[in-house]
Amino acid sequence: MNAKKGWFSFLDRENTVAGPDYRRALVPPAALSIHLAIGQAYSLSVFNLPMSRLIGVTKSSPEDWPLTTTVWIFNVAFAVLGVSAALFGKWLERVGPRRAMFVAALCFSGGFLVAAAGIAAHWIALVILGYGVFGGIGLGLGYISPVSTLIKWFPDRPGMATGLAIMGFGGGAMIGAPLAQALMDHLRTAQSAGVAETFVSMGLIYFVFMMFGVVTVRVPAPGWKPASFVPPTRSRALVSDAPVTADEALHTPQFWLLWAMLFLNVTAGIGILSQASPMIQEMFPGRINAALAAAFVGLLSLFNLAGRFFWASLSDPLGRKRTYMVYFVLGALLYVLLPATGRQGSVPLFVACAAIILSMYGGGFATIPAYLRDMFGVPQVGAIHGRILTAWSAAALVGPTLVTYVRKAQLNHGVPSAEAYSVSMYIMAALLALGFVCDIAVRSVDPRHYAKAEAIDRPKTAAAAS
Amino acid sequence: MANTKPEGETVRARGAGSNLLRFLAAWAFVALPLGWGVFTTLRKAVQLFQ
Repeated sequence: MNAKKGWFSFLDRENTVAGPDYRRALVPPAALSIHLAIGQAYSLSVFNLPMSRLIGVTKSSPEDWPLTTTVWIFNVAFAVLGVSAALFGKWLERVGPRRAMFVAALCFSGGFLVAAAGIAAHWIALVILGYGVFGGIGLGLGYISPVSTLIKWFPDRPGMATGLAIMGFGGGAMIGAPLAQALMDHLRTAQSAGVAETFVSMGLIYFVFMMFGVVTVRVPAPGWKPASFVPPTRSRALVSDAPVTADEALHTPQFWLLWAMLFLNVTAGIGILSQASPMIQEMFPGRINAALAAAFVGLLSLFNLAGRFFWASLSDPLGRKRTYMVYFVLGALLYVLLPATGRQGSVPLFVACAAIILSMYGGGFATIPAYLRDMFGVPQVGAIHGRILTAWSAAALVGPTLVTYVRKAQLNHGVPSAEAYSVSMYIMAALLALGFVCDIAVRSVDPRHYAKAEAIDRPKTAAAAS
Repeated sequence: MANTKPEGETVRARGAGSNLLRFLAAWAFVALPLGWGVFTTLRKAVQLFQ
């Protein structure tokens, strides 16, 4: 073996090739360790109140940051996530998953440490630079880094494999929120809310957790396939016979249709997710208090998590196109039904409808890598996945703004607060109906977009073996 | 007592045992924190239906 020697040579792709003893069942935990860590970003709101009391400690003082300021940390982090996933996707395919995961761990954990310095100095720009920019780069890179590796290890069940990893991103909030709360409770003093100390602790904890993935991940040896797997010999509808490069994918209508589908599905899901707590309290006044609303948010997160694995796994036998049809048709029906459950005063029915919608929101995220793999092949699926995640950033901006704006307009027109979300829900149903039209329009990629052999930047190990 | 197993078989058995341990340790590493998070969430969510 002519592996390079050096401080960081263990990160090189050629030193990451699995030996004969390596079992592919170790790849999902490696991917999960990254996604469970970066999924903490979904629970950042747990710091909103403590960060608005950094000076006053027990209550906000005039010098403290208002909530409208701290929310920018989250906004910047998710905007940078989309941009970094799009920018670094091709680099990831070139250097391999281990180096990309390592850089993601450095950026994500380093972001916590820089943000902690900003919190200690009470300098919001440094907090945004730390968690928003550095952390955001870690989020984007960490999100896409295990995906193409999993697809290569599980050619027989790509939906299930990527669903398992992306499920971790949904589950990250369930670990991040109680962990942050427990650390703040432990580190709080009479003079400090313990936020900076909690950020330092979480940065270190997440670095160790992510390093498990860095050390464990492997890429399959060239030509490897599962023992029982027989690659299909006949062409299948919607599955390309040859790969498409990341740059060429942008010139296909399929990429933009899938971009629109992800955008519409995420916009519809975020609409509920971002307003879940006030929505259920206003729709069932006097019956749902803040604590129950928090439980509702937790339940939605759980369905978001479970849906990622369930729906993506189902897409393997059902097909990606049909699975997305289910998301759009069932999602639109449930959105139309939601206001009626509010009028009937049925909390369990409302919760059940919202939970199923959120499961399909998660499912949309988890099924998209396998859909891309079907359309554009395996070699540059990580880079293409990175580019399509800009739809997520766009939806994160549009979804909550749309719901907030429509609700405000309704209230201004004298609509009671319990009814103020109805129009938003009908709009979400219409967006999902539009997504259904996009899905119907997806056809197999025209062979003129297929890559020539030299256009695919193949890893050295594979090139040497062929 | 002398080991009567052929050398190759012993090595293979050790390899299988070590693979199983590695598999269990890797899954426990990610499943335990996730399980804790899911349990904490579910415990609160149950109140919604009471």
